[in-house]
Amino acid sequence: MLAKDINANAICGTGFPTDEGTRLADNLLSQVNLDWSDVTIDVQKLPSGLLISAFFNGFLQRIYDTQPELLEKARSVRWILKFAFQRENVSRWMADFKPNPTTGTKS
Amino acid sequence: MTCHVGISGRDGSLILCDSQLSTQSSEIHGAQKLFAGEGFIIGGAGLSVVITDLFAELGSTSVDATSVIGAVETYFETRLSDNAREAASFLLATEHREGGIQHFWPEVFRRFQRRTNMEAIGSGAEFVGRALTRDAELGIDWPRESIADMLIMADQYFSAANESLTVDDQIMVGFVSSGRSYLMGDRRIGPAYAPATIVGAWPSLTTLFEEIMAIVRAVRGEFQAGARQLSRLASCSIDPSVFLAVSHHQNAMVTNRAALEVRVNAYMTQYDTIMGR
Repeated sequence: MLAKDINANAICGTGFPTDEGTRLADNLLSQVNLDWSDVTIDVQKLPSGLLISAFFNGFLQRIYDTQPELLEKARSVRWILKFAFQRENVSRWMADFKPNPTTGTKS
Repeated sequence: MTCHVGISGRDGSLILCDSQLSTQSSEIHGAQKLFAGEGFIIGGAGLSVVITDLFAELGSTSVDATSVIGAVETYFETRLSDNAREAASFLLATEHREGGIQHFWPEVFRRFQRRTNMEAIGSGAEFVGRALTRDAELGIDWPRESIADMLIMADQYFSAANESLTVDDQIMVGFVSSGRSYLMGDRRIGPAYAPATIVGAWPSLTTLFEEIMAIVRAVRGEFQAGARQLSRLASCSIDPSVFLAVSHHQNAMVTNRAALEVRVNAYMTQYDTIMGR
């Protein structure tokens, strides 16, 4: 199992936050043998306007839609953020996220 | 050329602008285009030599919020040629119940125009005007009570001017509140017309400004995401999930607005301490 440090700037673009969060989740889900209990994602270089609730909810929703058994580990991903207000926001969003069972298709 | 967006509200007045100077063949970034005086902020668009000379003039005399209008009008009448009068325009921010923003457009008017609560000047002003018109049609009414509110609103409309070729994204903000004026801005802007203590502390001040603008962009991002949800009305596809999503965005906006108020107040405290007032 591989621990992983992810540079989100190399994965995410400047699209709608939900779509970019989904894109980030897809990238992680595509990595074979990823140790989900030891993932660190650096989002410091992403625009502040992208790092909103929709980005992180989109990330977790995609995990849930694809491999729901990974959701709790995904909540524990370590995010590297530039500002204190972002760390407070993300911590709250990770804890409060409630998956929408009607979106997407589960594999 | 440039874009200045001026907004006035309950707690004072604010001007947000870029830092680009342009000639026919080059662009210069990091230029200071706002001047902070006693109880006022003034920003200039147009010929840079006129803007910087006026700032130097204001800095060398004891001008305050009540005398600045006369000082600027006199400067244009006595120091500039008739041809040069059309080379620049200015936006003034003071505190006033009837609107703290006034436009000085010497190409057309010899005196400052009437007070208003919002105005934009520079090459980007046309884009700001269009965005305001569209928002008015949609009923979008941004709050402008606190300095934090005004900062969000100014950045929202300034972003519309990014379509202009002669506007850059190195932002400077000047605001006046409770009789005191403040400057804050991008690390890449070199403040030339500010007290020496502020110039010396600029790296420290810009660190807090970076966080302030990050929160502003987060608030605007949440608003945009919520508006995108509600736009499903265009295809008559609104369902309860839309209202749930919008409530999430609203909650995030409330939290981030509160964080922004704290940071803006912290900035003012730090600035006042540096100024020894």
